Amino acid sequence: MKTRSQIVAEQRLLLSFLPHVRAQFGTIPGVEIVGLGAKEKRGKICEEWAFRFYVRDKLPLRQIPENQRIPDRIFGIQTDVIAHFEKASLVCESTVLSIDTKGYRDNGIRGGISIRNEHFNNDQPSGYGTLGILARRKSDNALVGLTCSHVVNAASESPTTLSTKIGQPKYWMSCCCCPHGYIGDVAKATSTNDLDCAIIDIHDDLLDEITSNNTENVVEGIVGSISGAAAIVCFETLSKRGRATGLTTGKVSEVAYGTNQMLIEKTGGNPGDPFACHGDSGSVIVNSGNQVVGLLVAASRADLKKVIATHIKPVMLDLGITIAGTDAATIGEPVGGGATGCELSAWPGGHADTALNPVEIFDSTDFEMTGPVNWDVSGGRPGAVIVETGTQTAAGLESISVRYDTVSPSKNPTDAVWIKAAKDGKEITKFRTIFQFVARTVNTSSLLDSSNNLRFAATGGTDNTQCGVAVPGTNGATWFLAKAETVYDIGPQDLAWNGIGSISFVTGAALPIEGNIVARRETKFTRGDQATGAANRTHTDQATFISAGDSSADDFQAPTDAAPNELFRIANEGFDPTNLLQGYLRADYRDYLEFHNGAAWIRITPYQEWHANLTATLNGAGTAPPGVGSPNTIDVGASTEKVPNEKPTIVVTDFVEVKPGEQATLSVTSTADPDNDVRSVVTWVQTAGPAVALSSTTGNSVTFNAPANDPQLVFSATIKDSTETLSRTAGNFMSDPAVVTVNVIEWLNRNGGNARLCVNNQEVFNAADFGIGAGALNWDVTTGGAQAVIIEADGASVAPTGTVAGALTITVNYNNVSADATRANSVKIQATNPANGKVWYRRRTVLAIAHAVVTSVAPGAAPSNALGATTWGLTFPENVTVTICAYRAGGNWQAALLTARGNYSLQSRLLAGVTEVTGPGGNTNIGNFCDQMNHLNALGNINNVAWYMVSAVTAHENVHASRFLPAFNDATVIGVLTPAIEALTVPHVAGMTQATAIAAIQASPGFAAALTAAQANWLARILILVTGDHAGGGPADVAEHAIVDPMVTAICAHRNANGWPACPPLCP
Amino acid sequence: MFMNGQDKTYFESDLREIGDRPAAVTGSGDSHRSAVGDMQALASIRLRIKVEKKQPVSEGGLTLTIVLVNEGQADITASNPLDSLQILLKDEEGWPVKMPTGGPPRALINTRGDAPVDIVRSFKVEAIESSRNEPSLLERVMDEKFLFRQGTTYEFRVGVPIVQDSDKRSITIATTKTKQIEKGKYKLKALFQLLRANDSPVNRQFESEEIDIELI
Repeated sequence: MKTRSQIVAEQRLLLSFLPHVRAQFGTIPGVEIVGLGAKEKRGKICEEWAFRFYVRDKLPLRQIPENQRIPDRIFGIQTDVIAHFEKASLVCESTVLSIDTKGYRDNGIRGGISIRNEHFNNDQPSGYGTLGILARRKSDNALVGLTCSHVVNAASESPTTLSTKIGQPKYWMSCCCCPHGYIGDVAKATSTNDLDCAIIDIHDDLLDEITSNNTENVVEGIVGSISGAAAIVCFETLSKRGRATGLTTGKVSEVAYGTNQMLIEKTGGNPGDPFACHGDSGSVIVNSGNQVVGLLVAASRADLKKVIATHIKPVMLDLGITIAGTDAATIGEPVGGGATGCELSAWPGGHADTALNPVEIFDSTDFEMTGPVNWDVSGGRPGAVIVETGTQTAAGLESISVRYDTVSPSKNPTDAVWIKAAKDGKEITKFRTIFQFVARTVNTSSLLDSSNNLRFAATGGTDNTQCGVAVPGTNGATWFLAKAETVYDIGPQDLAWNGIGSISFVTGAALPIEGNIVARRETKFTRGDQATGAANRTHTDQATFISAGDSSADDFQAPTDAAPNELFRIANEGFDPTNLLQGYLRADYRDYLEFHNGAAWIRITPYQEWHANLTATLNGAGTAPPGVGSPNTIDVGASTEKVPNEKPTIVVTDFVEVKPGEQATLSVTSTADPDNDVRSVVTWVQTAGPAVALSSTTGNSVTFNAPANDPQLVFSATIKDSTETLSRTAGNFMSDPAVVTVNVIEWLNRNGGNARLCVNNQEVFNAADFGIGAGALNWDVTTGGAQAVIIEADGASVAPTGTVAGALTITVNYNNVSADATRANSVKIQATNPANGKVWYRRRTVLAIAHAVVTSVAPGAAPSNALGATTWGLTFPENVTVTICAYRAGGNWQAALLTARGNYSLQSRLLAGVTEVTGPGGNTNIGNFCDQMNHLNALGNINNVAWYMVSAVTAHENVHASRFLPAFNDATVIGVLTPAIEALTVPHVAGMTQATAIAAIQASPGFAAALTAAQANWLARILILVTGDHAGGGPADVAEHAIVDPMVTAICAHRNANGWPACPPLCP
Repeated sequence: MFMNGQDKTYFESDLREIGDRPAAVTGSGDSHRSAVGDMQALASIRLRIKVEKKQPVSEGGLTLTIVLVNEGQADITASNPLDSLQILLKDEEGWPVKMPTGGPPRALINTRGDAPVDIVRSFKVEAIESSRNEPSLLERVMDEKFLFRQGTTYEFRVGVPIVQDSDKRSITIATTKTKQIEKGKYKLKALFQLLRANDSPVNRQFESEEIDIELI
């Protein structure tokens, strides 16, 4: 068994490791807390150290990726994986234990006894806690009681409320409003994630009893007085005395739980009993030396077996108190493996060529020491060398330079180099993980970029005695390489950098800072030429490699003319094809990394060297000279090594709307590739909606014919770059799908925009036709052109509106003409299903329909004027009738005139005493034929007329009647009637339909007045037009003669045939 | 009574000429020349209407006066202006109040020879006066033609003592039943054609505005 001093020494060392363990492994997915304490075996703690990892879910090892597994050991210490547990504060609730409820005011209050604040003025066992111990406030040496903030301010507005009254065993008011049990007020209370503590100013009335009974350093039930305060030591046996469970003992299972806390688990007593329970919060934890080491604040909620206590040192520092004469400053570190600890960092090294291992300089001040100290780098992994001594130790030096010649096999601090400084018995150790980069084969972009196939034109002939290579002209510059990448592996992998995150590279840093790593590339060009007929000879134009400066993404990944990387293009190399035949060009490269050690860039990798041969191709017919016509070659690269690669991108027109049956076009707007890689053609796939046949599945623009219904179709477009077999990241050769949504929308023309089209400008829409689910829909016709209003919902009239909620059908009225036939100016009838949020819509273009009032005149009306005694005939405009419709306009129904008809009467007769001439074979005879002829020929305009033909009278009237329609169509008639009718309105009332609206308009006085006025206007215009009808030889006479003259002729012929007497002058 | 302008109790205004001129006026040839002459003659006649806006119904119902002024330099013979006068009335609610069914206008009556024509008017002609104080003008009320002397003003005062007694809503049905025109507010409008007396197609068509009157 280890001695206590051994445990203290180990605890001190391991607590110094803890920050680094947390930094390196605390970010593993699922890990919540990393602590230090006892190893648990079969649910029981044992005296073996372990880094304790609390995880949300304990998973079988096979389910955890290898790089997310917690090592079995770290720094040589076991690890424990423990399931997360919930905490519960231990202020007393309405149940459970109540070991000590008695009052101590009269015989000296002390630690370990019941207290409760003023907010629980009842007999219920709620709100109780424990007074931990009496302490002294440093600022005024006043006696204070130590407990938890959640105890003194239970049920207060805030756990940090001050002046809350505290009583012992409780604070309560009697019926005379006198307080009882009062011991003091809350003087300070702290409640943070790390601290839960408070002090009570002990009332003066109690001081005498405390003094006389000597209870200041007493915890009830603990044998002997409290001797002071101290740091926790793992595996130690501890005691506490609380209101609920009284005196119990336990063992420290974790010295560093969180930042300021420890875990204690019960030992002794009944196995089923907890170490603490509700009501014990505020108890102090006392070690075997009667030193207070902690303040009890909470326990595991499920079983109360794991008790959480705060280290007493931070409590004392926060509250400014001493305990039994101990000042917090005298309590040794560490207390909980807080934020500070020894330093673990990373540094490059490990090369056999030690020049590539940059030294790190340490000063004694880096170790919280001054002046010369003793150094030792032999701990941990071997391979560290103190440059000043050439060994692993140095004595009495103020600073040293350390070089690390061995790579750390893992990021586990166990594999770190230890750099220890010691002086005057104080030792501080820093840790270094030594990393190293190893280059892989260079990867050129020859398979990635067609520019790498550049061949220089061979000119001057077709064989090696005639031709040469024309490398860029005098002022030209030609790219010959677009990309060449050297991939480096780092070991150890997943290394944390100074404990704050993964290692990262800096490009384009404004200033070099320690720890930066930069990739560099240098090149030199070599040209070769051959004189006519001579053997090849080469010479180097550049004697040394040149640098293109610091690396940047632009330089190495996507050089352009605007941001060139001169390593990748040739600018006027000065070849002269007329004199230097079969020339070639070779570019030699070397890649490497540099590390900034705080003072300078230090190269930390060997040169990675490679070159590219650039050759010529034959320009013209004939036999190629040797070496001419071959593609460029690169001595390394073009390998199967995967390269980092960015996905290509594709942009499409993401929304298309077409009509059923219309051809839809899916279009690519642009494609790009961050790496400048060659891209494939675009591939299209339909992902939703009824299947359609694309004109092609590839291409920047493909089409299909929209289906007859109006569904929504979805397509996605993807594009590949040329790295399908080269990209390190699986799938990165393909772009993310670009989605195109195609709405096939029913878009019809509808008549409207003419108010007279009262019937045709309405349309009913049914929810079921919109295909967005069952039930009533919310309708909106306001999002498109403003030509429509909703006038009915579910068959019932509504005041004209743009939106209707919850209807199965709506009736839409198109009262305005669409400005044009574009989609933007179409009516959009949109429906939303409130049950599922789906939206669909249809469109209508409203076309204007020309419309004219249909007019007519008709005989047959009942005559209003009886014929006078001398009147043969009369044609008279009797009345005007119309047909109308009605349409919604605002809150009214407005009339529209459809047809108008003038009704007239036509009367004709023979006056009394006048006989109808029926002619030969009729009533014509030898005795009357001459009178008949004369009366007819005079058109009855003789005295005592006895013979005439009523048909001639009718013909006369028909002449007048022929004026009636022109008169009716005159502007003074129909031109007045139309606006008079169409100005008529009736207000809409609930339930009013078009038919009832028409009836209401027809029953209005305005309607009657309009028709009456129309009849009068018609008559007035007729009187104008019939002027002259009665003129001698005028239209009426002509019409009558057309009737009577044939009769006269027939009678005359009959007289001639029968030898009747002459009847001059008509029938001489 | 000759008054200019309007006040609260009296209305006087020119009639408004409406309608297109006959085609003959805008044609050519002899008929055209004749028509132009007729037109020029008719054009010199100015028509006005005068109405008391409040009238006692006890004094024979509604009374209005059509004023014709021959402002020309020649006498003009025209058709009897009363033959074409139509009076439109609406009651306070806007319902038409129909005049009694009178005889048809003379221009539509089909007679033969010299037979007398029965002219029945829907209104009562109360007076015909001229600024020349021509005597017995009222006796010419049924004449087919009327002589308007140059520079002379003629006033035809007509009354509407009775109207049809019919259902307001039966607008297409004429009835011979009549009743005294009742007290109340009315809107009055007069239609009028001025026709040349020689069967010439030349004519002028007029109408008044709607005039608010009250029979008290």
